Amino acid sequence: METKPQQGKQENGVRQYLMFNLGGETYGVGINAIREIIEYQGVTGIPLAPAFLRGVINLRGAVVPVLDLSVRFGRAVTSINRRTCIVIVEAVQGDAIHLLGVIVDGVTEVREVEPDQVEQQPQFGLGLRSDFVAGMLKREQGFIPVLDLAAVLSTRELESLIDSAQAPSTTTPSTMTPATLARAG
Amino acid sequence: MDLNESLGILVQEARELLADMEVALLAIEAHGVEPDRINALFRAAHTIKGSAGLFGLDPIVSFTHLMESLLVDVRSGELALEPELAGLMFNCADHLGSLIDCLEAGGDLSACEPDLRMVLMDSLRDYWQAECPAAAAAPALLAGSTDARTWQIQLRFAPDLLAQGMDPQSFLLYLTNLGELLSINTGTETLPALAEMDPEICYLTFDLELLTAASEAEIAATFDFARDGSDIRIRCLDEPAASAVAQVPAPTGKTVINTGTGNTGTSPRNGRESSLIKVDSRKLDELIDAVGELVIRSASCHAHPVIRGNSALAELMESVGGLVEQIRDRALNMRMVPIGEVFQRFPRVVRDVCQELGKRIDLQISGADTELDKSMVEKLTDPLLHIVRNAMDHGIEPVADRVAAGKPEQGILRLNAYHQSGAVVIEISDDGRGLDTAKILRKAVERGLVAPEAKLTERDIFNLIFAAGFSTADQVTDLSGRGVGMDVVRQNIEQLRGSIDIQSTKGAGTRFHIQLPLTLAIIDGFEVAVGDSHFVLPLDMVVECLEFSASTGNDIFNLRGQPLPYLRLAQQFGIDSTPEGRECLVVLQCGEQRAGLVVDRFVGELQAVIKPLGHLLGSMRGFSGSTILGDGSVALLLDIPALVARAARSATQPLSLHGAT
Repeated sequence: METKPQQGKQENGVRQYLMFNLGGETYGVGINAIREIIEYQGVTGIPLAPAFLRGVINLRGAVVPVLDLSVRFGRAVTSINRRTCIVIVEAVQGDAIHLLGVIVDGVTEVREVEPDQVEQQPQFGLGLRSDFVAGMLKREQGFIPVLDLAAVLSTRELESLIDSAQAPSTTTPSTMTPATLARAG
Repeated sequence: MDLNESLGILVQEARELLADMEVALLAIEAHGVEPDRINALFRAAHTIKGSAGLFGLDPIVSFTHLMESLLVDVRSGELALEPELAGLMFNCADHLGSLIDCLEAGGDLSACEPDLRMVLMDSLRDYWQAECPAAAAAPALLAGSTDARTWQIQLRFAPDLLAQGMDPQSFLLYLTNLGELLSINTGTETLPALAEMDPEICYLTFDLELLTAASEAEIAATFDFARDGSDIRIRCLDEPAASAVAQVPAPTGKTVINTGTGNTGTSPRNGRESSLIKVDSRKLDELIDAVGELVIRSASCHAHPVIRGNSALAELMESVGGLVEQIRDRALNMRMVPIGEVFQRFPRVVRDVCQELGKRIDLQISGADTELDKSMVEKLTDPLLHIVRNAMDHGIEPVADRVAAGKPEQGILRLNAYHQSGAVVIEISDDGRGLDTAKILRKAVERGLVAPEAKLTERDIFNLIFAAGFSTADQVTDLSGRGVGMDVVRQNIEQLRGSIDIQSTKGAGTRFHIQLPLTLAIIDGFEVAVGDSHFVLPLDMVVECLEFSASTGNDIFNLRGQPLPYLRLAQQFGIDSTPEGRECLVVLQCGEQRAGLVVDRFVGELQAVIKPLGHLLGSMRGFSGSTILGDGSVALLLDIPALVARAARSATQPLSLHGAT
């Protein structure tokens, strides 16, 4: 079962995108799958979890896993600062809706975009897996990648990553365990 | 309405109706035919047919239609519900159950047991035709009898009749079973122009003349299922025959079976439905989440300096806190369901097994209203079923053996449930031959489960039957004896954080004693800290807490002269910790073995509301769930058996990588 994207569909084709920063770059993501945006705090690290799984938070009584998007993109672990946010995303799996938190360096704005301003994603040159990108938003300074959350947060892929990280006797604790990171935050 | 959702309702409703049907059939077998029981059968078949018709589920409709037709004759007394027919009805109900399962799984209904369906339908038809040639001859017969009178029936069905899954024609056809329809006038006055017509609304009205010997009540009963919103008038046209005067005090009077009030239906279902609300269990979990959060927040309010400094405010907070806890308890209570939901399946199982094995067994159920967590009820069914089957197959002897042993012919199987000091106890006992310790021991030795010279207590020997692959049966039967099962039973019970125990006296019977926590949602926990991370252990696994002093060379602690292997949690989890002062050791009981867990410090006991890790995190090993601490942060619940098992595994590997920090 895959996470379904819920791109921000509006009347007459105008869509809304949330813009956020991550590792010095700007990304966009359709707004419909986004439940809320909260301040980064109170993340409990999970021992022995793969690095992209930063931990869990208490979202009004529900325990929600929090992912490090930067690690998921194959980059460095996100360092926590004043503007760091957790974007709470709805991931649809079968009949159930799960919540997932995604760490970003800061959110900037919600933009309304005409459909003709969204271009197809290029085959390469993004520095990202091309299936993570749903399209490119045209802006004055260049292009902003729009993330395909279904691919980025694919339940099947994340679960297999967690599973392989737990293969027996490979549990050598690295210096990057979420527990140490959570404390750093 | 969402179609899938409606289908879900259909499935659930059908299951309930089939359960009712089974209860009624069992009652008929045990205590004989009564109109209420026949009506329950009829209602089930009829309602399932109606709902299935709504979705165009033809295999179900055609099947239930036959059942219904047969039951109509049973209801009218033309056909006797003999044991053989009751058996057929049981099989039909089972097949319907399979169809409903298939429907839920989204399978192809026509491919679900098609051969069995053909056989059952043929048998149903045979009954209908053989025992009831009256189907064709009845009207003439009835019309010819002296009591026959002509009735005028005016039918003004509710506009939503079709939407309710009913077909006016079926009522008319049913009436032909009562007597002869002399005339049918179909009224089309209210039929709008085609463009305005809503195909789901019943616009037609009917005026009938029926010649029958049936009483007014019998005719009225035809329309039992269409009463709501319908205007149905029944009037006798003939001068009553002498015999009828006595029956009907006001023979020319009109009977109006009306509408609106809806309370004319006297079936017990109506009463039950009005006092129950079906709620999606997810909504309930959300409520419990929110209430749990409320409890935590109100506790932190309580500790706030502003409130502590103000006695009036503190008093107010105190009462708010009390109310909040009440709400939590009630919310949790809503998850509780009577264990009867599980028990009600057993009369049928016992009946079937008795027939199969030729044994006579009396099933005695008590404490069916004992409540436990809904999610537990679902997981209990299979283990209990297994124990019950074992008891009937291996425990209770065949009639001849019982007589020879001086016991009554009929064996007794007892299911009992009750609450005992914050736990639910379920007992399954039989008065059969009991466990044969010598035989169990012999088999265990044969299979290499125990050493031949081992000295075992009686209890140890009983517990051997929970070992994987163990079976004492000399002959493998259909029911049990394959040695798969009792180990699974114990696993299932332990997964529910329960325990299972056996008492048995040779020749006098066996008793399984299952103890389960009241709810899976809350446990007594013990909070420990390593570095800045907090973890929660189930308190019932904690034996004692000690100050820790490391021994040299190995990870074995000297516990009053006994060796106790221990794990360092910081090392296991790769957590940096520089404990101030001495470390602490928790002694844990994990099944039969004990293990120590070294942590930085103890925090204390708490009532932990368990949140499943669920999505994504479910595959994380070493944790069985999570809970929210008083400060609102999340703490993970340690899965002690998994941690111990992992330590045991890595100890057998040549080079352990643990502790390479």
